[in-house]
Amino acid sequence: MGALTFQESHIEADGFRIKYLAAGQGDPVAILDSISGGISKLQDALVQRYRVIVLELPGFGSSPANTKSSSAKDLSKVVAQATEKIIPEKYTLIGTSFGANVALWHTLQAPDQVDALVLISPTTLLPMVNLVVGNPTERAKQMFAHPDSLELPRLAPEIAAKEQELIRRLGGGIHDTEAESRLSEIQCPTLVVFGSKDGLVAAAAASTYRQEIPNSHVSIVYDAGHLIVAERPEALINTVVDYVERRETFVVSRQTGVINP
Amino acid sequence: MKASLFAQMGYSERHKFPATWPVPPSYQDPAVTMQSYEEGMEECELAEEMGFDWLSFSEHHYSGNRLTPNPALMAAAVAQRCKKVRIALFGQLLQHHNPVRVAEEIGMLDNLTGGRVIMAFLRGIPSEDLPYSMNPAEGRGRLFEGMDLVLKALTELQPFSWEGRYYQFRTVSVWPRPVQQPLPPVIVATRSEDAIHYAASHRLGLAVSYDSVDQVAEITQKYRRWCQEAGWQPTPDQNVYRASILLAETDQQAENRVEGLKASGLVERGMNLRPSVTQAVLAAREGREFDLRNRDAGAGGAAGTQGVRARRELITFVGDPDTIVKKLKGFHDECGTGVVDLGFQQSGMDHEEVMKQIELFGREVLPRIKEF
Repeated sequence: MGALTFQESHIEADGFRIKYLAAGQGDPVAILDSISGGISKLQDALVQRYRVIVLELPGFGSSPANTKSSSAKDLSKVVAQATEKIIPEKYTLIGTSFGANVALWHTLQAPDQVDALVLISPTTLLPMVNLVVGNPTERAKQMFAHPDSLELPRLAPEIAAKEQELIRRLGGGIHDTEAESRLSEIQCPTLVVFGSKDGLVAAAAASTYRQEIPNSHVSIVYDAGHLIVAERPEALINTVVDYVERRETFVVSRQTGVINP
Repeated sequence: MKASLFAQMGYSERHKFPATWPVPPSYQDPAVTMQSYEEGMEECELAEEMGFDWLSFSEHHYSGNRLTPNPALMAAAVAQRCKKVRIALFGQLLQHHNPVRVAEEIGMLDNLTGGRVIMAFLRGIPSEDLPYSMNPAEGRGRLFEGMDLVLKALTELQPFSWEGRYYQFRTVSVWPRPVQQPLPPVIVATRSEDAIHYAASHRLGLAVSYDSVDQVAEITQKYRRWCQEAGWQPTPDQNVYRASILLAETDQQAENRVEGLKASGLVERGMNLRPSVTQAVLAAREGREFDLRNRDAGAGGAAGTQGVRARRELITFVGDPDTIVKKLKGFHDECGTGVVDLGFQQSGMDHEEVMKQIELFGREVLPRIKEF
């Protein structure tokens, strides 16, 4: 695959050694993934047309436990330092779940770095339950619309426990009133994506993003839970890739109705 | 118990139709069609006057047995003449339509009627899978997704896009919102377990059509049990039964009339698909291949739908007022039926006979079933 194969590197930022993957060519797209390996299908689709950089948030995945950061807002400062070093130009920023919370704060803190924002299943507003609690079966019920019909993403128990503790400590299960009050400051094109059966976030959250962020769009992926990419990957990829390419003009259909020319 | 008139809006000369479906448009005279609509609306007006609670409108295609390919359009016309009765779209064959358009029509109709709309969704008989070239194998999936999208479109206060399996809309922002908030009553018309479960889990009503009291009881018991598991109890208005009726002054007169219709061969004309096509539709609905070469395609007629209708009486309720009250009491007690939706237009009956039966029902039956 050559340039389309992700290469692993590390960058120092705010005392953390952050792992990141990079591949592809073209306009830069940064991805903040708080669900280990969860959005690989999305990044694989994006790398066909863009230079994709996937940052592992400190404390997530294989990185050491993060006992320093205190909130999504705090963690976003680390992201800003890291991306400033590895992506000199403005970029499209994509975050999933708690990664989306960090992406939202990063956009608020460093608006000059972010050209467009994609929030996939953010838990910033109206989280209904604590994230990722209980045993794997209970976790699956929270994360998926159809947990029984899926081959669930495998996550080592020690990593799951570490991430669970970090998300709890960073307020991932608490409504972020400060972020809500500042949504109107986000000036870049913003797409917010939720599964129609997201069991972690109240449906009303989507309306708030749409109402408060000036140039925003809410996309509902039918019959998907919180981890959309696991249940409706084609629908998620179709939406996000189209938005990354066309921003707010993605509402103009390119589908053909021609059956036999 | 409440009563609803199933406003069938049949073409008055439907007894002249051939037995098969579709009925060629050549059988239709526009002057008769206009007169048929007028007669149907007179029946609606009489039903409202006699105290019926609902008027219902169904979606049927390519036959004049029901001249309502667009039930919302028919309902809008009737609602301008009938100002108090509730207007039930019972129902729209959602799997064929753009769900956003359906939501817009419901929003319009609820405003035009001052908040009297009841909406219902169903799949319909096999012939209804054919008019718009939908693959019958996808009907169920399209119906479920369509219902989710209609409910979302009618309740969401901010624009959104929808990335479905069958529908993709990048901008949805429905005007007008329904008068009834957050939603007009919603009913799922079905006997399928997955759709019953959908109704129970979404706190929607249930309608069953034409089956016997034992069969309906089995379905409604399941529905109520699943409602309970979902933490709620349906109201009487959320338990609907649709049936056909032939009412007369005496049981003997009613039986004689049914026998006369049977002998004339006028009942159920223009309803039946060619048997091979019915079998192919049913096979596709179940995800099976249908091998025409190993089957007798038949020459048309009723045989193909016998399997579908074998468990139904030709006309559900036949009798005098006492008998009808007794039978309806059975549905109320055994099935929890709160609303009975009755079709009075049988093939071979004229408008005058239908009007007499509606009047008799309103005078002799309705006051008694309202006591249930």
